[in-house]
Amino acid sequence: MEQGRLVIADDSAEMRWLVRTAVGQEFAEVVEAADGRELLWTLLRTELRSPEGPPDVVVTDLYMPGYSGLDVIDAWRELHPANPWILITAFPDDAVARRAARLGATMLAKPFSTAQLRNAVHAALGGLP
Amino acid sequence: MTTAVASATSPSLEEGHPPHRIVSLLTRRSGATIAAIVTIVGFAVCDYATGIELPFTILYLLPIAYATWFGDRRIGIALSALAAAGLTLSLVDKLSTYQLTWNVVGSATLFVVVTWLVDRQRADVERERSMRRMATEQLRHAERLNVIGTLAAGVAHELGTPLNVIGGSAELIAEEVDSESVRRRTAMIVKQVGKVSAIVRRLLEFGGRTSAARMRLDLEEVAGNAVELFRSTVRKRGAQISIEGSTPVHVRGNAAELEQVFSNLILNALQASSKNVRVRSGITRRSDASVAFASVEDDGRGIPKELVARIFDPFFTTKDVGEGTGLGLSVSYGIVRDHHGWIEVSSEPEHGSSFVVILPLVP
Repeated sequence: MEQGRLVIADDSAEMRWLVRTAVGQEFAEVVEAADGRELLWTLLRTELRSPEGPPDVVVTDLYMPGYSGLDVIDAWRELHPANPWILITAFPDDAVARRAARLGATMLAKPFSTAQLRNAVHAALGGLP
Repeated sequence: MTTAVASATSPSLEEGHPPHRIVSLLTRRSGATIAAIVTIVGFAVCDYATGIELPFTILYLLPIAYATWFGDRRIGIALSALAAAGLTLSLVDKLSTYQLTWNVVGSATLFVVVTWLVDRQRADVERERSMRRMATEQLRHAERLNVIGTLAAGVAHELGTPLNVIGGSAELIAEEVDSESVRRRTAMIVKQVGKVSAIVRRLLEFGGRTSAARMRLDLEEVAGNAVELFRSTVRKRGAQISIEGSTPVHVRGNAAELEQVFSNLILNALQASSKNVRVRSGITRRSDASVAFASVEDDGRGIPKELVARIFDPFFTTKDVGEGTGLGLSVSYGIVRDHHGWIEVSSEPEHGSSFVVILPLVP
């Protein structure tokens, strides 16, 4: 059943394509952002357009130009604490893992399988109000 | 500090313990000074009584000391004997037996004592020099591995995205195309991506970019878990493995990571055709500090001297193609370094190797 909006942020177009192709069909709308700044603007725009709309599932890379995925999560949490986030990174170090856990984001270490990505997205959708 | 020492010594003076004072006087520096004064006075008296011959023997000391310093102790002692024999021949007609005995025995004693002192001094200097050389080498090695680690972690990070895209695309192709042959081939791609990913992960571990939760651990237990993993393999190879711990040793670390270190070391020992692998743990001293150690010693084929400096380099391996990636020791090195320790290696070709993991001690 299609519901909500999926926001994909990654500076690699191929990664965005992969995520969109693997899980995009489960959402009513899929939006892409190529860096941290664009991700924040995308979220703000969608927020202004439909403030009462369903929360977005955001799949974001950790290291991106502009702001890092974690910085955007940190900022967005002020507005929507329950918004589900999936953080993908090839650097699953301790500090990142701790910060992600504190911010309530699910971590996916690159390279992940499509099954892992789908499980994470389903868990995020299942947790939505 | 000074006050504490003064107050600790004054009561014993007041209570009167003269024997204790004399013993302390005769030890160390003051004892040596008194012994030197007594010796000089003794020499002077004997020289006065026998005719002044002994002081000239000092000239013999120059070649003896020189030969001991640049050669070794045996040459020094041989030269001492030669000089004493020469003295005997030159004085035998001039002096009485009593005078001759004093001069020859006195001179020979002097030669041997100087030889001993020079030899000891040389050993100290050599030990100091070799310790410095070892420390410099370790530092240079650590620095080099650090650079390689940073590079490896950088490469590993860059590989993460393309690997993900390759593997993920293959999975998506398999989902879209209903063909057994396509499914088989994409599964192969996914499997190979998995292999590369494992190498990437280990490179990241070597680069120290991953870290896991740490806790207080019993080092013998951690090493013992690794030993248990290899029990059946060891038996099948007709070899033996033993573990012994002299005293309980605790360190702070991640059990899984440290187990991986000992597993790598044991596996290497077995692959070096060892018949006996001995794992020991305990407390030892390094640079005046107590540290925890766990060693893996084998009687395998050993490591050629010229390769010892390279064994921790990533992808360096002496194993046959397919037997090892050359990452086991690099990863172990990275893990131990992240635990604020280091690994010491000593090896004798055809007799075996010893790897000692040194870690900070936790009370």
